[in-house]
Amino acid sequence: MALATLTNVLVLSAMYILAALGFAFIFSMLGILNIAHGGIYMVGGYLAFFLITKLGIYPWAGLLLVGVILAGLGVLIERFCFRPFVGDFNKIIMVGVSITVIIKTIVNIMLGTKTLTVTPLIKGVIGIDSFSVSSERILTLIIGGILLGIIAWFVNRARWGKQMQAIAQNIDGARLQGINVNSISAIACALGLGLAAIAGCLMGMLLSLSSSMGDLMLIKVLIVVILAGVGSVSGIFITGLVLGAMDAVFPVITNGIVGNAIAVAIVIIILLIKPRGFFGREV
Amino acid sequence: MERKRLVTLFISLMLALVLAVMALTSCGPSTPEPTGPQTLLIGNIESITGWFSSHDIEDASETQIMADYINEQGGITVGGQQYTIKMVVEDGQSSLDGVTAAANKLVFDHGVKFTVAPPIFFAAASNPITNANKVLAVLNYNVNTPGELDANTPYSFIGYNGGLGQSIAFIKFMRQAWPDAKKIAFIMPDDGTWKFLSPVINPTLAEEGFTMVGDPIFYPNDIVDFTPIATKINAMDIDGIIQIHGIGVHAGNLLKALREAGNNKPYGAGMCDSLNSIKAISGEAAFTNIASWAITPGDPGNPPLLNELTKRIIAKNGPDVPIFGLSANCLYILKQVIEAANSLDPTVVKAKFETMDSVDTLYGTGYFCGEDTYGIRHAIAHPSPMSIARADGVISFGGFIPATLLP
Repeated sequence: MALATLTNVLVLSAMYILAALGFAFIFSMLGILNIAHGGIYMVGGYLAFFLITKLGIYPWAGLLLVGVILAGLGVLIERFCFRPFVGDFNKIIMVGVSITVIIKTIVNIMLGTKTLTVTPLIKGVIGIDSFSVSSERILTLIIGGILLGIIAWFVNRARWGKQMQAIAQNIDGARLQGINVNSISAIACALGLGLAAIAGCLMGMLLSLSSSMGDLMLIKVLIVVILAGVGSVSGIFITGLVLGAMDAVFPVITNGIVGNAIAVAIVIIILLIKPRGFFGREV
Repeated sequence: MERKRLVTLFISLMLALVLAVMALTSCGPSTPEPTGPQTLLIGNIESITGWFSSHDIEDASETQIMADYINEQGGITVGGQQYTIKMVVEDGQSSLDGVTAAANKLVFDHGVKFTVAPPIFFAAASNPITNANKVLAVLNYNVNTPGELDANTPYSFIGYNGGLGQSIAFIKFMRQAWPDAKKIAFIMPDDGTWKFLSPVINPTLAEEGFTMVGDPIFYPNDIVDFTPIATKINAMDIDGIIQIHGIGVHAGNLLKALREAGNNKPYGAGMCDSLNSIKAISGEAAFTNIASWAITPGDPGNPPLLNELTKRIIAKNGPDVPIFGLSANCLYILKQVIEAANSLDPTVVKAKFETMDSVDTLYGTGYFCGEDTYGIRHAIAHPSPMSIARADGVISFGGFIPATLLP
């Protein structure tokens, strides 16, 4: 049971961190609360179904295509939906809600609202003594870990990543240093939405797709990002792990919806003690 | 100035001409009323959006197919006049607020006198509206909660076995299907109905020789990842798993999680989702040793009407679509009772409902019952179809469990 739970913790955490990192990029760079993030996560899953299960594209190619297509969409969304409204909180929220509704409607019309599943990257089960886990779950963990490693390297070492950090710290200062804020913001958006889409694709392969899956993930992402604190990208790794652990462990040790309530109560207590989150800076 | 007066005069004359033509054409000798079929609006509250939409979208489609079938057979005949059924669907939005809004629209905007659906756990929202306005509702899934059906809901009836009747039948079937299973894990959604169902379910489990290990395992309705639940079940010393309630996505995901974790024990998914639809979610590799109280489409053991309905559903919606037979059954029952009452007055139809002993259903003869359980004899008990797949994953007809009348 311990091994199985540990696997669940790691897989859930990896997916939460992947999705939350994307959200955090956009929030930190542009100051935008991207309410459409859950919708993009959902679209990632459904696009994977369309490409892989319906069109029969090789699953690995499908996964890559999902990330690339939705990263491209991220550039368009940044240019036409976010950039004109930067600084206007109300309009940004409306834009996010509108994008989500439009996306959901398009998906429902094209693919219906029936629960769907995506052809997995790998089939089969790995068994060691009494412990058994699907190969897909282990692969998801590996892919998630590799992606997170690449993102960590990118943010801390790559030129664009450092420019993103500069913008997040002080946008005017970054401009004065010659950083093209618009270009970097577009890259951040592309990266953010691409990550969310890949997370949606991987979860669609592991579990199943539903038109409300994005709503649930958006709540998890908000919790992870808020707990980590404004401007803290590295903190998301910690808080994602915390939330993944709560979501994997509480259903085992408690019963029913009590587990959800306990997890949320813990989040509120943490915020009461540390209002800026674990690693947040003053805004 | 002169030109302006001429233009004004011209426009006035045209307007007067149009009005005159309209007046003339609306007068004249009256023509006799057409004697063809008239339309009977029947409301249908279905959650087209929200967490229950994966169930209700299909249910709405099935009900429309049933309505089309009835219309092909001549519709509903009352007092020698034929009526073509027109289903009016309003979205219940998978919430009590949504169902309230839907009921209001049906009753006040559309003026319906009869409705089918929603399931009784949503009908807590629609019952006050339909009953206050004497709109007869045939609801489709009872869960034994207080107030879902009682003396305060005189215009509400149940047109399907529901959670209670089906659960009893399913537990009996599980005993037949897996005679060696004694210790079971019992699982269901955390919907608050266990305390009302347990007085009936617990004795039934005991009668059939099942011992529940530990407490029932509950899960949130919106859960997708069942791996923690499977982990919990795997730690128990059991011979099988029995679940009541839930929807196909729950069963498919739980089955997948169980099999991936190495648990191959029999799993009784006590819900009406077809095994094909559960298989579409669990995947073929995980689809073993599972039963549900589902229809096995096309089996010669089914009543002819059920096979006809499922044939049409599959033709329209595809072979993997879940088939529920809930609101479609309610509509079929409503049609018969309206004709038996020979009236479109809900109060007259209600009175007829209360004097009838039985009615034909999609599953065979249904018997009205529930006077002691609900205080009014507005429930129904009909045979329950069962479906099963063994270790080879081949779905087969499990037969019908005879109706268990509620006291």
